[in-house]
Amino acid sequence: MERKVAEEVKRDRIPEHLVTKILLKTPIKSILRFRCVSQSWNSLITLPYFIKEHLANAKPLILRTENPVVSLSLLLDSEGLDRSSQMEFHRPHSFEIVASCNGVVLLRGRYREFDGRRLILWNPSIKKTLYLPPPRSYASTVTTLLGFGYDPRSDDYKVPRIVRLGNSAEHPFVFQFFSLNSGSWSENVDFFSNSLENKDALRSIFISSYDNQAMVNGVIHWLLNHRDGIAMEMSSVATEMSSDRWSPVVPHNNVIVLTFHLSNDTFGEIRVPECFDDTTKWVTCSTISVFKDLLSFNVFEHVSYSRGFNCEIWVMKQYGVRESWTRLYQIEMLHIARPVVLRSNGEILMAGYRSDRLVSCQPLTHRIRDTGLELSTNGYAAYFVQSLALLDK
Amino acid sequence: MSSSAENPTLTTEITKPSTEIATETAQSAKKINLKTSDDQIFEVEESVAMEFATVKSFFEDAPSSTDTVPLPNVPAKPFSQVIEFCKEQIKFKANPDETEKKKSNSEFVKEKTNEDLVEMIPVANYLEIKDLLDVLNQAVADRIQNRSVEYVRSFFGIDNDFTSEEEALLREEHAWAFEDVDED
Repeated sequence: MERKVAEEVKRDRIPEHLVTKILLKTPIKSILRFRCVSQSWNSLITLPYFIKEHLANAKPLILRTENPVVSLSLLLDSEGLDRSSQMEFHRPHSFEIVASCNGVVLLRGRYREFDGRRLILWNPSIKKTLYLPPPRSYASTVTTLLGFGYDPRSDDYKVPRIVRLGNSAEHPFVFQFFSLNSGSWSENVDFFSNSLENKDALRSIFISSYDNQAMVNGVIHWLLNHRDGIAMEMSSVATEMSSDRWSPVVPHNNVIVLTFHLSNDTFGEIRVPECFDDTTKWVTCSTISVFKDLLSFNVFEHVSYSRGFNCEIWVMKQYGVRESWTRLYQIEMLHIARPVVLRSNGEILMAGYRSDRLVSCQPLTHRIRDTGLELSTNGYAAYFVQSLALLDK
Repeated sequence: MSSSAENPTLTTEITKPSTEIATETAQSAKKINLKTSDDQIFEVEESVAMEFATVKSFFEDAPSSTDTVPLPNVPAKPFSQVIEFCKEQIKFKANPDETEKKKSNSEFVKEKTNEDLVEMIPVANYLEIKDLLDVLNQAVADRIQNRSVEYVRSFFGIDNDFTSEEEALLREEHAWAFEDVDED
């Protein structure tokens, strides 16, 4: 008792850890304003600890693009997904969303021929933008693959970038990444230090303008097509999907999952379920996403004109173990849509249904509900949180 | 999960607990004496005193102690309000009803002044009454969130230690956060 008493004798009326608790219960706007209260409040709010605690308590939202200028978000798990919970953000002009993580969005210049190397980290919740130094210019900027993620161990945000030094399969790739902590790019990362089973396939990878990133287990994943076979650009798949026509098919074995490990800055590969190695099978399209912290592989197969499509959702139960891929759902759908995120009520949000609808799909009953929101297949939609990230950068 | 015991007609004790030296009923419930920093002695029922984790562990360390427990960091005024809260809480322990509990909690904080809340927080913290601390923190957050920086300083009794240049810079950095703030 006495010892405790001595500890508790403090000058402040309310101890700092309780001020922290109180501030964490207020909106971001108030927190930013209250930096002005005093020196100690300002340093408390900009502590990495405070920013992490705030993130840990954040509500799940969906960030999506509605038109070229404005992005909105809404509560992911509110039953109605209605517009009342939305917030509007005005994103920097002439930039488009590449990926987001911890409430921070990676943007790149919309006009890639001129400014494909212009990159911005943007936290819309605190209205902060950080312009990244441009990476070294390599060949055509059209064949650039970008990702974005956070490494908790080094408390660092990283932007991996893959560039092909030309437009044909003979041209080599350059692998690089940007680290926010170091403020610079690491060029020519040795990609092939990791043993790759699929080197030939990798050589023929086609980098498209449609970057479908999924972050799981501290690793960024991109789903890419091979160049051989009837390889087609994902963006053209998206176009086909959004026009909702029966689109050209891609052989199952024609996709590859490329990875970037945020903790050790290496690139690598994850293979899709073995049954898709069958060269005689064809699918309409496939995507990757994250379900319950697992990497998921989503495949659409055309059944018939009257019955529509069969959507299979596979998850990798044990990360990195190919044999652990398990088919979770098989959903009959009249139209193609891109699975975006799993909601806590078990429904899956899907983009681009009937070309431009955001729908909520119950995977067991196959019931599809329109959220009343527009979202084309190639529009951006992803899990999002409001955070104070970048406040201390 | 409704049970028959949950009927709304709570028995008798809706009487406002008197503050200061709390001599409740003539029941045989064990009483404990607690002495505040300003030397006031509160006689409270054991069940209420056990809500204070700090006091509880005092008795666990020294079970036979019959002395008055000193609470050197706890002034009488906020302490009497803390006792008021804990008495209410105990009712919900026997009769859990989340809706009623929330209602009771919000009524409790509603009639408290800013000063009351600020004084009670260190007491709730010292006595380790988690529920009360959560209620108080939320109440303070609700009261300050749309308020100006000046209001918050006076709320917490904080002196501005920024130079006017430093403060101007910070205000400029987050200019949008200073829009639509409630009048003081």
